[in-house]
Amino acid sequence: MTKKLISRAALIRSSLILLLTFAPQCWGATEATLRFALPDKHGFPNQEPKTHFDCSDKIYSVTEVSGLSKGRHVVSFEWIDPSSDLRENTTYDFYVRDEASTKLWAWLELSRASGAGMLQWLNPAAGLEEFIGQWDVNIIINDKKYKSSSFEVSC
Amino acid sequence: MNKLTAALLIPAFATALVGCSSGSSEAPAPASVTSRYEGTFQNTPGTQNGNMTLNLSEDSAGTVTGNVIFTSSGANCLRNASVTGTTTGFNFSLSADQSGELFTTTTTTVVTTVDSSGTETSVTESIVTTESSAGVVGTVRTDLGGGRVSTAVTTSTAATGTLEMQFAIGNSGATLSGTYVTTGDVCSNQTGSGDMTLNRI
Repeated sequence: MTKKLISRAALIRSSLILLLTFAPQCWGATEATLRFALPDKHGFPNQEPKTHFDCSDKIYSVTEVSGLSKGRHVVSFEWIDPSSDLRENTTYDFYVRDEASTKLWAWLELSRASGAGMLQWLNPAAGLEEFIGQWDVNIIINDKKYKSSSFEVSC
Repeated sequence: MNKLTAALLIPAFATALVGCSSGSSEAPAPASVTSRYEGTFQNTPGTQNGNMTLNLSEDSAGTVTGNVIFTSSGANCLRNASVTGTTTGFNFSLSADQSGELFTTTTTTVVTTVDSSGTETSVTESIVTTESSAGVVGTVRTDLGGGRVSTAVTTSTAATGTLEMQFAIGNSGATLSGTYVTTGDVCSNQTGSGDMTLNRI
């Protein structure tokens, strides 16, 4: 009797593992890509991905999300500065209307500390020191983190 | 204060200022496009351009309705129409039905010269074809002087198609910048695509 129960439990457990492993692919699990780019002349992100930016650049984070259900969703772009602090958070609602992947982006611009312009000729990074280094970006959709990547800022 | 003192003091003062303040960053969310926008359009070969106005209303689901009005000093194959579209973040797609009459005008300029023996020789100087959403069917002959005569023949055909616009929303919804392309036969391949740039008013 006990043996029968144990084997039934093992069968259920195996079935659950198989279901959890393969079912999301059949259901169209949500996937997101993340890249960084400069803007084109209209303000769309360029196709060419970049990982190094000048401190005067407008830096675009671009994600393409697939597998989301039709309807309203929320995306957040978390911009983590070189001190590992959450520097900016760009959050907005978006709507999925068809089966195609949805392209979303946000951008970051850095400005010098007041008075630093005078020192720019001595040190290009003057007033921007806290922004120089590696930035991390997290893509959060409907409160779930899907993707992280990083880029470098230098002057 | 002599020059040396000034040269030392200015960087020191600037350093002190920088030390007291930090840089800033900006990463705003997209804004609604509910507004009136005015701007310009310019097709890719540079043969058609003018001013345009978009009156837009966006609902909470990112669905946009409104109208587009074109004003052009010359021929222009784009016509005023209702528009519908959607926004997805900073990306804004807009579509307008462009079905209607398409007027095609072919202007031929001929130069006629008479030699000393009184023989006339005619040479075609240029042939220019333009497309417009407005016009009058018929033939107009204009004497340009010096033996040059231009003949403009305008015909019309029923055209169907759409105008597809794709904008990036910038500056907290204050600007729309992007591209357009027409489908169907409302414009020719040479005239039916280009850039649009608008500002909220």
